Amino acid sequence: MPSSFAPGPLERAQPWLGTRVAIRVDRWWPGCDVQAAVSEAFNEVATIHHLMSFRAADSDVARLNRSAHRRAVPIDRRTMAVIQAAQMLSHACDGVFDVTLAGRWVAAGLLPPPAGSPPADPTASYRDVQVEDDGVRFLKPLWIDLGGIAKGFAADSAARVLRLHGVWEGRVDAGGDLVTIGPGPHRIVLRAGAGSPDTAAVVEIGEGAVATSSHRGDVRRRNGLAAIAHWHGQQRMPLSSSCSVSVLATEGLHADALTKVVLASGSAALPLLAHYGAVAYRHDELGGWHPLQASA
Amino acid sequence: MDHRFLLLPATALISVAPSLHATTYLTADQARELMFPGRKFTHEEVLLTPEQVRAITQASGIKPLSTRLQLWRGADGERFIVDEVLGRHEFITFALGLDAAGAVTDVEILQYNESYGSEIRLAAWRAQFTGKHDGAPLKLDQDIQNISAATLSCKHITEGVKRLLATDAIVLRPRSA
Repeated sequence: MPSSFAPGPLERAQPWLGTRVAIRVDRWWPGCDVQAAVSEAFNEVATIHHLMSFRAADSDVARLNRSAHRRAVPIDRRTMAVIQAAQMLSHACDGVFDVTLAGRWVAAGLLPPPAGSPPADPTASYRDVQVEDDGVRFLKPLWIDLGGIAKGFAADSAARVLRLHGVWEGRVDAGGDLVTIGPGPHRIVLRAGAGSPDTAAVVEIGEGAVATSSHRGDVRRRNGLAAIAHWHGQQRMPLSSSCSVSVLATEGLHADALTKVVLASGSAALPLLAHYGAVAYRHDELGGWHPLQASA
Repeated sequence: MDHRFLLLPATALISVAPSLHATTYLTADQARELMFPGRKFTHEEVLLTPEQVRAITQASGIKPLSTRLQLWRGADGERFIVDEVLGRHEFITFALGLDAAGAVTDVEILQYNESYGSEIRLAAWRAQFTGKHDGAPLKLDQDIQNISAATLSCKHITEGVKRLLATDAIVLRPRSA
């Protein structure tokens, strides 16, 4: 543990990944240039934003959607890491989480069609995404969107940059996806939606991540088209339940993606949560907040 | 995942009215110094004419909230603008840094006023946590500053930047060219 700290805290926020990304630094090692650390962490988030944007024509995601059905497309190591993690998760949950749903979302008018890309094959799924040594190849024309996992990854990456610069305690908040730095305990309010909460829930964690996804009507209305990630990957349909899910995990990337699996699968996701060392809490109008447990 | 989960009954919350919560991240001066370290800037308040407002609205598709614009000009033609955007649930003050050619160098959120679920910040609400849960008492000696919630989009800032880029092209840039 460091013996002395410069005074804190310091917090800044920038708009990235379609939301407000806020970085707070509470404690740091002597000699750490905190503002430079935070600026570099934001630069990393900005890079991830540009690499993984569905809309920007020069992003890795756009290049994959245009060309990966013809040849393996080389991509940045960060995009590769996110796609690999998404693929592992998709295989583990048999496609409940699937980053290849973007074709359905475009067809449903939820996303603009990617310019210059061939029409997405409606039968394509995560099984048609192949990670190779020199890039990523699609076995069918398809469109990926990493919106359901990239914010958690961005929060992880920003936290890593901060640690490298000597930040010892703080947190990265990528629009409600939190990654904490330092043993804490960090107290985090779980918020289900708008209005006065019917039940208040607080979690205390050490170094780790908490992500929340909500399929409540008020959140969907608030976000308009942004709530598209809540589809059931296997059924290729929007979810019908109206609830919120918070997942606590070691990494933000897993916490972020696992919220979607729990929203879609409920307690059937428990083995997967255990596999990732994660736990989940669910909020619904009738029962309030409760830990996700096996169905009786 | 090692953690503690604390649950508070709803009855304590009934009397708490929602209100606006504001988070201040940076002052305008701090943001400018971060974007353009050590550079000299001159402040001016720009008043947009009705014609300029119309032109900006037409070019960007977004009508300016105000006809007054807070602008700082750097010695080498850089520009630093502080402006506000109004969403359905938030009021955001942000700063935009532009290089001499009018390209965005930085965007920083200076203040974020949120009315969406802001009741959780209230002292009366927070006080309910002290010693009221099962197990060991929890004493909050500071605000709960961490909130995990469904991602709320902040497209209004993107629109605000687009509007300021149009403002820059139509009103600000010709003078520095």
